[in-house]
Amino acid sequence: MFKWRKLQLMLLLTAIQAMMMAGPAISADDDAAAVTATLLADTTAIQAGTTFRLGVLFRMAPEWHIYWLNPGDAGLSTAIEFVLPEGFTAEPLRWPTPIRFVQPGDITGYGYDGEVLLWADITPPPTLPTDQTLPLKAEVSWLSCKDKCVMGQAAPTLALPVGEARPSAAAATFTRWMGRLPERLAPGTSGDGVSWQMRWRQEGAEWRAEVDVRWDMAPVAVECYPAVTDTLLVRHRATTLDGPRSRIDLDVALQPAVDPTDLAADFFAVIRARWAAGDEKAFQLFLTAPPELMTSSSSHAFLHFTILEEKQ
Amino acid sequence: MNRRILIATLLAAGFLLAGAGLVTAGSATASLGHPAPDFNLRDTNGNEVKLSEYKGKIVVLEWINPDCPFVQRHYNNETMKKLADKYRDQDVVWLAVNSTHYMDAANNKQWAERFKLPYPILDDKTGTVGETYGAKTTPHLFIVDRMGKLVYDGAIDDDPRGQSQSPLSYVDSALQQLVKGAEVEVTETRPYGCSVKYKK
Repeated sequence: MFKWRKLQLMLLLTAIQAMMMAGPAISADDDAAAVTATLLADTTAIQAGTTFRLGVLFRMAPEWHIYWLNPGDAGLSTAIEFVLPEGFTAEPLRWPTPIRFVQPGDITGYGYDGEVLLWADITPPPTLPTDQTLPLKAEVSWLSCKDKCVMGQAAPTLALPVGEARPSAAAATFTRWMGRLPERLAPGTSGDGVSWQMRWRQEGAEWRAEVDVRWDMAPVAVECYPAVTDTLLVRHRATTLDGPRSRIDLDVALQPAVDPTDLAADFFAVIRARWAAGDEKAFQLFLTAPPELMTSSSSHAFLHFTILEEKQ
Repeated sequence: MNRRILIATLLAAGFLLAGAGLVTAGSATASLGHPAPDFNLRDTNGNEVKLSEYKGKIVVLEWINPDCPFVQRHYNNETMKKLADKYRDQDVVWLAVNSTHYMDAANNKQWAERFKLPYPILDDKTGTVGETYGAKTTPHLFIVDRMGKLVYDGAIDDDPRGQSQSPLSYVDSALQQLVKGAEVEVTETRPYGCSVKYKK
């Protein structure tokens, strides 16, 4: 029985590998097939208590793109919900550094083209009965756009035996995409060739984060991708390059949030620098909105709740 | 310079501008709390529709693209039609605007007939009015108050994924406040949807 399952699994893995090598069949005319989503794990087996990576590999037809967690001026962030056996926990989704595309009408989007892997660290429970195969599933939905936009969804699955974990054939894909994650920088910390600080400025009801970045070597281009949260609306306003110094201005406002007790002040922005030699680096800067902004009486959110209360 | 040629040139320029959806207000771009730029667009029957004709009324401008899945969802659910109907007898005018570069009055007419729309779809395929208002997404909604001032800019509701059982309609809330003569509380939200497909 065990052998038979193992064989099934091997066949499945072989099929996935074959698919990955050949590339999914994409017809340029078929909008719905513009994006494919495949579930991958970086392990051959699930080992009790041993964290592994589970991700969705998206492949897009030429000129099509899907969206980052902040889609920008338009679009919709890609969504993945992992459906896991009982007792398994999933960390938040990891998002490689996106690219920026500017569409006619000065509409900025953040996302991915070609191929991207979005994944999470998964931890199985500390004990697991062996001699079983466990089903893993991802419920995936995305908006893909080229000249027009198409909603896509898929629920790719994968079955892994419980046993000793070894790197799978897909482990190299994970390693490659981990290299595309921005380096995380807490406030006041410096990273590889970079240091940064920031200050908040209030202009009327508007709040602005001014991020001052210092590079060991002057970059030729710096882009900024701010994240949005349920609480905060963050817009990239401007980036100024001045040799080894870059200034990034972000406009920050409270979203008309739903729950006033859950106003998280933390957010982040990813910056990506490019140097003359063509090399690139990306950093994830963690920011916290000031308490004055979060409790501002002129904010949308609080006025909004007043109205809701009146109605009830 | 020959005066006749000059006049002919000016007339031709004026004609071109009118054909391209002439925006006639003093301010170049729309901004919240300021007069909404006037425009002159044609509906599916070729009739001219000017924003300034509706002074004294509340006007909702809805950017639309029949090819966009977000628009399709809202039309299948009749989100816009129900709202337009709800406020029609309260001096609220609903105007849909299509800035999709590859669509014309015939596409708009087809969409309007399919959903039996009680409001016109205006042809802005040149994108002039869309860019003046800064319309980014379909749908993207703007509300102009009785004084001609722009008082709302943003999303139709708080449910980009269409998964909420009872989405909060920002436009409904704003209209409720406006018809009562109150100020709009939430004036700006993040619009969601497809990017407006402006001409390149």
